[in-house]
Amino acid sequence: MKIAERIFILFMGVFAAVIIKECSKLPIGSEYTIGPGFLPRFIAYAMLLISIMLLVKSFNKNKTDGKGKPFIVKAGFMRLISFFILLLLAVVSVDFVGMFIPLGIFMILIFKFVERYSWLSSVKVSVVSVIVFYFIFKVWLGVPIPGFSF
Amino acid sequence: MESLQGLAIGFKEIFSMYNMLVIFAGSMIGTVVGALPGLGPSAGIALMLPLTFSMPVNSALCLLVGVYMGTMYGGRITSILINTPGDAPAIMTAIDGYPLMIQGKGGLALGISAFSSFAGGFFGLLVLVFGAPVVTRIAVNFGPHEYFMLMVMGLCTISLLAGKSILKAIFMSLFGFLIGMIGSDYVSGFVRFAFTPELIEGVDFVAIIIGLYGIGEVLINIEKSVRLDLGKPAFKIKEFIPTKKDIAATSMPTLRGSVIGTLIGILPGAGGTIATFLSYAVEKKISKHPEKFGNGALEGVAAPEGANNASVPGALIPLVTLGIPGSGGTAIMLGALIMYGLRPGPLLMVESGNIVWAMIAGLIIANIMLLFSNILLIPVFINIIRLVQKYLSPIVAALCVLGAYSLNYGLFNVWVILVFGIIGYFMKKLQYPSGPLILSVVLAPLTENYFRQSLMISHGNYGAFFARPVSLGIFIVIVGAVAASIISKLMKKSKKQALAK
Repeated sequence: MKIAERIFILFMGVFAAVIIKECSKLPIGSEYTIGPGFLPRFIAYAMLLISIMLLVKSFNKNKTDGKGKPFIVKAGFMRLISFFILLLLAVVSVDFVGMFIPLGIFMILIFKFVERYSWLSSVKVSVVSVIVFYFIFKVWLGVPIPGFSF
Repeated sequence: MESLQGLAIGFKEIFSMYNMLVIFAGSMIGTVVGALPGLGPSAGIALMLPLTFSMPVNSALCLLVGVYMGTMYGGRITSILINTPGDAPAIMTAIDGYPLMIQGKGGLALGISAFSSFAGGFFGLLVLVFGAPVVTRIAVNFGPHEYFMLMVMGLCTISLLAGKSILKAIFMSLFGFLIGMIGSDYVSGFVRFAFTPELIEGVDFVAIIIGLYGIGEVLINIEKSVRLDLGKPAFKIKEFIPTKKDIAATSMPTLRGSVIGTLIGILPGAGGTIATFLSYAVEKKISKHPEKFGNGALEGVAAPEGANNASVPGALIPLVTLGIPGSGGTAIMLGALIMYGLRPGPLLMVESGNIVWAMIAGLIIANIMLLFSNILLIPVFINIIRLVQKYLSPIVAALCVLGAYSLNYGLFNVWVILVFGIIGYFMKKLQYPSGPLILSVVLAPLTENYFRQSLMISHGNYGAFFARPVSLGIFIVIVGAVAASIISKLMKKSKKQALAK
């Protein structure tokens, strides 16, 4: 748990540091008022300071804190990573085959291999969901979603 | 009188078959979303937002308030039936609701909680209807100095009250502030932190909330693979309808819960969860039979439910009068108002009074619809929850992707929701509160603008914030709140250490 928290804090700290660096390109003040760099710089410094404090706190915590309590168990991690990778693949393939087909395949694969439902119910629920989404977004809301352009 | 006239206009605005159907649909969706563990009001509103873009503003707001109110009713269903709160405010309902279920009084617990939810919502709405115009009359005299201080107060209170660690809440608040500042600064003409051209307009607020509350929650659910075993409870309709004796026994706890809920709801950051905890504690303390609490006391179900639902209209008071949201859910509502082209603040009720009153009228109708549906349609809800929860995660993920795409018909926002989905997942797992983040994203540009205007008016003199009585008063409240919060945390810590010794 502690390592995951430290990674998260570090990520946030790096974000604050990048903002501080970018702020150097922006003026701090203008006549009678603040410039576009004033608040972001001030806030990014505060965020960097707190990230350091949180990081130090995570090292100072009682060593038994979170011991034996992993951030994620192996089975959960496998489910999570499979889900996220399939979702990423679906999004990446939108440019090539449109939106509905990848999302449909994504749902079928998750139902079948992550949630462990039968092929029949996986395909049935996914197809019905895609059809409902098609009618909501493309027909009702008129969103120009790529795919199913007939 | 002014309130009643406004309300009449509101009812006139929304009284159409289409809007009634929209409110009904929103209420039903909200109830189911509220009942599903992991999805709360913020997720419900966030997922519905993209669907409202093509609707007239009144209908869109009706849908959103229907969902918002519905989630407050829904949380109690799984709390009572299987001891699994659908959302955080429903935790207290489970303490006495589930023992009642075990004793074979589950129908009564569901019925009483529905009545108390209705009464709490009704009380909160009364305060909203008659209180909001009064606050607006005072607030229209505020200048940028007062507004800046109010925004700071909102950010401070949410940081102090959200979550267990103040440091984590402030951290999230600062992160949200920086995210809110990405994009063009329209006053100076500079573009800030736009690492890709799509960021010149800033990070889309809806994409952020869909990521945090949609994808983030889905990732948590997929990891834990939670399945609710709802069984097949066989209730008869008459079991849901409380007797006069039951209603009389729970009327005062409901009223007390409603007052607490409304007041806590008005405080930025406090929200329904704190209101339910407080109302339960009050009831237990003043009860002649405190030993019954935890073993199926009806008062222990009625008071938190009243408080929970009263907090919704309570949280809307600072939103419609000052443009300051009182909770994560209302922060999303504020973002929605801005997207619909409205200007939140005291002038909202003056410039767009019809829309505000239509939204309040929508809440009243939703509250009535929810009372009946939560008594008559409980078996239907149980079946829907049983069916939906099995297939929820991939469907919600697909809905999030489609919703993000429809924001500006491109894939950029889809990537944004994936990034914020990961951030939301870590935040939830590591107990970093999301309320301060959302509130800061919404308030950052407004706060900066008011700060700038204040300094321009006072020719760069920072002392002007303390020279104006209202601004100084708000500053004193902020200092007092921060000091009280720090002292109370220190006292709790020393008490804990003393107990450990």
